[in-house]
Amino acid sequence: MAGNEQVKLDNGNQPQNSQSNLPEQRGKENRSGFCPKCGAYVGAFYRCPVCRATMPHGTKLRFMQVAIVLGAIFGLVVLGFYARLNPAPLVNIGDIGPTYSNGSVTIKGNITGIDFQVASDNSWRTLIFTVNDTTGSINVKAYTETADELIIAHNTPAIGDQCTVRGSVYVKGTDLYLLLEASAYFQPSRPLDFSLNATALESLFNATPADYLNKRAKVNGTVTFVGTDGTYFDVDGKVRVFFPDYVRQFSPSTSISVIAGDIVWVTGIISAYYDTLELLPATMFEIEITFHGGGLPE
Amino acid sequence: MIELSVVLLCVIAGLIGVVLATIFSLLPGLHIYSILGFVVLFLLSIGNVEPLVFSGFTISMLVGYCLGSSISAVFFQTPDDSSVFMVFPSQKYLADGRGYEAAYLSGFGAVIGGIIICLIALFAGPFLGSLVDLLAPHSVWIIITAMLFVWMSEWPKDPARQESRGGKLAAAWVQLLMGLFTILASGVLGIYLFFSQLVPPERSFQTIGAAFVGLFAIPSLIQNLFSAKRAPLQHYGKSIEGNFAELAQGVGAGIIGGSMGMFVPSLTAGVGNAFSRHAVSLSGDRSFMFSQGLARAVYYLGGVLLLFIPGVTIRRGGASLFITLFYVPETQGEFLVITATLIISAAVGWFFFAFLLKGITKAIHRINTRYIALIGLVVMLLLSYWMLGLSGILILIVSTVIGAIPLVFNTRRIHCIGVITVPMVISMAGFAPIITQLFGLG
Repeated sequence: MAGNEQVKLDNGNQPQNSQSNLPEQRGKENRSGFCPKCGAYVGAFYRCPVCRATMPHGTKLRFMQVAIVLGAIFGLVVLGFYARLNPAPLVNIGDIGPTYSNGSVTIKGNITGIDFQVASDNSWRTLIFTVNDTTGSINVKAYTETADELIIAHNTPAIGDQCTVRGSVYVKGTDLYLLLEASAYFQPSRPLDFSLNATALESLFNATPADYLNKRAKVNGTVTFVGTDGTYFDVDGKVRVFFPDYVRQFSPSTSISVIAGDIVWVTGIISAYYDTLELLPATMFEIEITFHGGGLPE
Repeated sequence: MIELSVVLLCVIAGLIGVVLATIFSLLPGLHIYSILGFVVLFLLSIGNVEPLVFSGFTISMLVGYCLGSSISAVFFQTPDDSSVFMVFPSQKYLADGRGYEAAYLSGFGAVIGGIIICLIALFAGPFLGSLVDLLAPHSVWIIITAMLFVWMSEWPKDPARQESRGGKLAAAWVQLLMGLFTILASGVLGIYLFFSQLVPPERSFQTIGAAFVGLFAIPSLIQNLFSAKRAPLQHYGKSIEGNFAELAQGVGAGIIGGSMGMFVPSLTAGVGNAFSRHAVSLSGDRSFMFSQGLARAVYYLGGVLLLFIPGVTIRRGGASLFITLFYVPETQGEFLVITATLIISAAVGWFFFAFLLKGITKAIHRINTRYIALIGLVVMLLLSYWMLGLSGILILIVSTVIGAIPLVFNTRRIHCIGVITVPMVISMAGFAPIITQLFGLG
């Protein structure tokens, strides 16, 4: 404690009761808050606690009460309309910084990376995907409940998707990401750039790879080879259809049984793995078997 | 390894912070988070900031705020969310010329609270982390129960003045229902704030600031502006009355109340105090005001220390949020430096607080508090506009009207804390998407 300002410990010596204020109230009868009849302190109440006289300020107070309640309701309605105008404004990814913390924003961009982490005992799951636009990139995270919701709704992300994501910005030190809280807030868009057969795609790609890389194509052809681990198959010996890990993780109960000789239509992103032209489907549902060939001749 | 120069800078920043915050907090209605928001913007714009120094500055600003706002809460009656319960007894003390005593007790409680929370963090740090982990899955029902208790435990004040039975019943329920209305209206405001983007996105870290000022401070400022009341001559004494029983009771209530705010998200010291008063059967104004100051310090400072305890790094409260915009502390050294800065700034802050309190006590009867309220009002409007633009003013107006409901219906002002508790419960319970759709924000 400062200087000579000591707490005096007097073992229960109580101060004078501040409520015993009758002497102080004398002569205050005409002041606001005091009863005009008996002089007792009434405060903002309608009636005097001593003589029960109605206080003159009662009408004014009632008017204020009604006005404030109506004002609060009106204010919330106005605020509600204002909030609905743009509940999550569209922002550039590069602009998102620490001061956006807890902000509700919408971003648009391309998905360039996906990671799906599952606890060894399956008690939690985290889906992380990276979204790029022309100004920068940001990770979007969906925790267990939202990740499950995305998988059940078949609304999972895939590399190459154009997407619109609404989420809350989370910042903790260098960790900055967008938290996805509902499946409806993730809207992927997969516009088709080409539709052609596997042989034509290979020749076009070999001529000008840059024009085709990362574009979405729908390719048809005959399955010529199926990988033993079930992660890929070849179409017409020209294009390899490869299922990324996340596609299999997002569709655990969906299996596509493709055998050599089947005629298929496959939609996916054009990619290159060393010298191999690849097509990466976004989900298992992008593989359509139009004819079951039952195996190719030896 | 932290360099000695950084440690010294941290302490110097702490000393500057506590003095500045004590002065700023004298301005009625000004919450220290509003000032820290501008500090954050400035530091982010210049870049290359030593985060530990900023952390020291932040925690000492909180110490200064706990001290300085004790003065403004007593002499200018402008509470924040954690001191709303203190205003009523301190008003009585001010009317009796004992404002010095009220502010002194609250400030003394804040310093003791700062020391206690440092000792707890130093010697029981890992336990605090385990306690937070233990409470986390139960947060939803704890918050709901707390809000129900705050609402249901309010004593109807008006019915005894009515003559008929119906009149008594109606008077009791009008007050209680308006308490419930305040919680719901604040909750709807919170839903708009948390689940949509009312403010410019680049200022999202200060979304809740304008609402808090409007709900808790501005109604009091307006009340003071139109009030004909003038503070009477205040008594300044070289000692104040109190006994060990009152202090012990205040320490118990303050630790319980502050800890609730510190450990359970969205519950502030104000809500925690509603419980702790019953838990320790707190009676008497002196122990009450002392416990309020102590609880606020435990709540505000404890929230920051939780972030610094190695292996815990839990974020509670706005100040922690500001610090984590720069970095996440990890080492024992950082924790010890921050704890030392807190204790040093509390010691220096106490002397500065006592000096200011003495001066204000002697001068308050000559000051027209209407002008102080007017200055506070103008400053808050300007700060809200600069930080959040016109949307900040809109939020301020709506929240002020909601914050005025408890004043005109004589119900508890802590009901306004629904602005955080309602959206937090919705979010934790997983109902955010449904509520968002329901309110047309999807």
